[in-house]
Amino acid sequence: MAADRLLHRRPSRPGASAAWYPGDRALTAALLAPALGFLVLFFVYPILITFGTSISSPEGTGVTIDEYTRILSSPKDWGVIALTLGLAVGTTVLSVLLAIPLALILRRRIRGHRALRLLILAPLMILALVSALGLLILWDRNGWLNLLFSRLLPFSDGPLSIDYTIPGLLIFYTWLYSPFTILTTLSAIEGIDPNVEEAARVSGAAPWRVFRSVTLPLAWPGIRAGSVLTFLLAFGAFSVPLIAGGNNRPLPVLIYTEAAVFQNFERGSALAMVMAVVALAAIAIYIRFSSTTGRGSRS
Amino acid sequence: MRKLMTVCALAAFVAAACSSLGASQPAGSPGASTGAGTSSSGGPPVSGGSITFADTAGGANFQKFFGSILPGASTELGIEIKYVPGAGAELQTRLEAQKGGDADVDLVLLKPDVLGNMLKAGLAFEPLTDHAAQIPNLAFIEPSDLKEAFGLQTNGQATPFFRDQFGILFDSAKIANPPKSWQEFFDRRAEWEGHIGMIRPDAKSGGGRLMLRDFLIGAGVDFSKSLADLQASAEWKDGLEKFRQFATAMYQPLASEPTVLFQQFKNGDVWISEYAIDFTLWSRDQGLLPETMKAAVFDSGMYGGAAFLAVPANLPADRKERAYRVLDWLLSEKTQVRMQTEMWEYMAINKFDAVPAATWETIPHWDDIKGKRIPLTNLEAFNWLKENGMTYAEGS
Repeated sequence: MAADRLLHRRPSRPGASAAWYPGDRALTAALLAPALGFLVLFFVYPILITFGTSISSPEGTGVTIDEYTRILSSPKDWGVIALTLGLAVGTTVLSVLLAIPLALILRRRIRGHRALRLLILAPLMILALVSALGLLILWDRNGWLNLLFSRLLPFSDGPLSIDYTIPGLLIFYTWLYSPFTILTTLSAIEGIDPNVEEAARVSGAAPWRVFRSVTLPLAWPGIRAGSVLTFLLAFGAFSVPLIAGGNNRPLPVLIYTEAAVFQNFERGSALAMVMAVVALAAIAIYIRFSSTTGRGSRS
Repeated sequence: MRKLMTVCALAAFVAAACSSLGASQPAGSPGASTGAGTSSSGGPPVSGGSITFADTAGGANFQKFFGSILPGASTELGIEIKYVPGAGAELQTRLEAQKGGDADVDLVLLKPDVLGNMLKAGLAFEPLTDHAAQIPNLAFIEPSDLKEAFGLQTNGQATPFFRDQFGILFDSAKIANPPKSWQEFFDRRAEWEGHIGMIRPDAKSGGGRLMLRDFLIGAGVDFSKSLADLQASAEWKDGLEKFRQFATAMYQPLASEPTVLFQQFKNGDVWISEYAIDFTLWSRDQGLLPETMKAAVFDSGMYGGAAFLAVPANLPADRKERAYRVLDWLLSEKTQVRMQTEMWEYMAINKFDAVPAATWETIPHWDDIKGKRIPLTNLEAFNWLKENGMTYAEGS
């Protein structure tokens, strides 16, 4: 059976490539076709349409790169790109910083750990728009979270400025998107064989050394996967900055305003293309950097 | 057991969060968007046939309202009413496609712009004035409202169902003596410094740009002029500059959408603004704004709109007959009074004496505002305000 051969084929010796049987290519193509078709229909095609719109003249008669020139020469638009990137990076860093200690605690199966695990999922169960409104209420000058923190924090001498600010957006984004990093980190850390860490301890490694040289490198693929998800979600966040961002309006809000409010589809499309390129570049750099980090830690 | 309790606690948390934050949906004013979906009247079985009622004018609050009143209409009339909320452009496309045969909707609720587009596209609606015997409540509509609507010659093909109105919305617990004109509002802005609210002019909701337009009209700008003439005029430049000064007393950042403005009212950050009376007071009744919210309309005028009922002409006689009966029920005193007291829309029928007097303590009486309603005109200038309004509203 061709499928059997494809699924169970193993190289005969290390480094050798497996032999292809007649019909393998057809089967491979058949298996790939649905995914490729889906990708072309729902990803490549819309991107091509968006790109086409971004380079079409407003009269629809020719091709122009005016919108790109305008965006790249506008300090205001660069500011929006920087804000979007900054919020996504900040959220990712905060999520990782939150995820690792939380995962280390939860893997010990402390009392109430099941409830905590469920609570981590809470942001994913509530619509982002509703969450944004809720967070605005909680962190308002009269909101109880604001009142609580303003009393607890030693440097605070009144209500905190959270709503409509960049620190506020970072808090809101982290609350909403950190579960993706937390869940993959937790899964990765719980998957580590305790004997490996025990061996390091028995060999005389201090707890910090065990964490840095054993736990973190082994959990890194999980942390990285989750943080990429968190980054992408934060980069594309719309409802939260629309409702709670005030004048801090990142790219998705700007694109929405241009396309849905001003009906300026050329500029909206050009901004969407810029956003896609920036996201891809940021992810590529992050993956490359984080791969090196992981290998470095292991060595 | 512990697991079960944890799940229950979490479910309660999520439900509480959703219920306390939800229900903030737009209404039928231009600051609102239109919901979509299909629902039946849900009433008991009826024997007198059915009609499909397409609503393209109301928001989610209207879906809730119709969901509560249409079962009663079904029972009373013996007609099953299938309520279908949706978008005007979609309905127009469908009706155009059905021009050669029977329409699949029997009764439509339309905003003036949608009605205008449909009439321009050659869609025909039944002249309701020819069927006054089947629609007795039509007698309580101003005859002029049946001939012409917002500059549109309807010639009896549509009747107003409700009239929405923008107004100065203020928290009477914080402002006992609200301004009576834009000039007074401007002059007293220091009294409410940091507490004057506004929706961003570049928001999806048109509320902010309508406030800016109404302010400019109050400042003497004549919106019957073309944009080029307006931009060349001193009133336009002075008006915008005056608005820039006015905006320095506003709560910043401006609200991105109506729900955010409501939240700012609820938190006590905003005390006064201009927006849609209907949606604001309906939202107040849902607990989203202070109970002490009230409305006023300045003499210089503020945006006023309406929604119209019409029956497609390409229907068999029996379906038309049922549509007229439901239309008449919608124009009946009891329905229209509910429209006024629950939805805060001004009634289409001239029976304002039937409205409880307490209503007029919250909003101005129709007699006091009917000459002050300014429709949406000069879209060119209005769109300019949409794209450039933030430059003047940022408060710097």
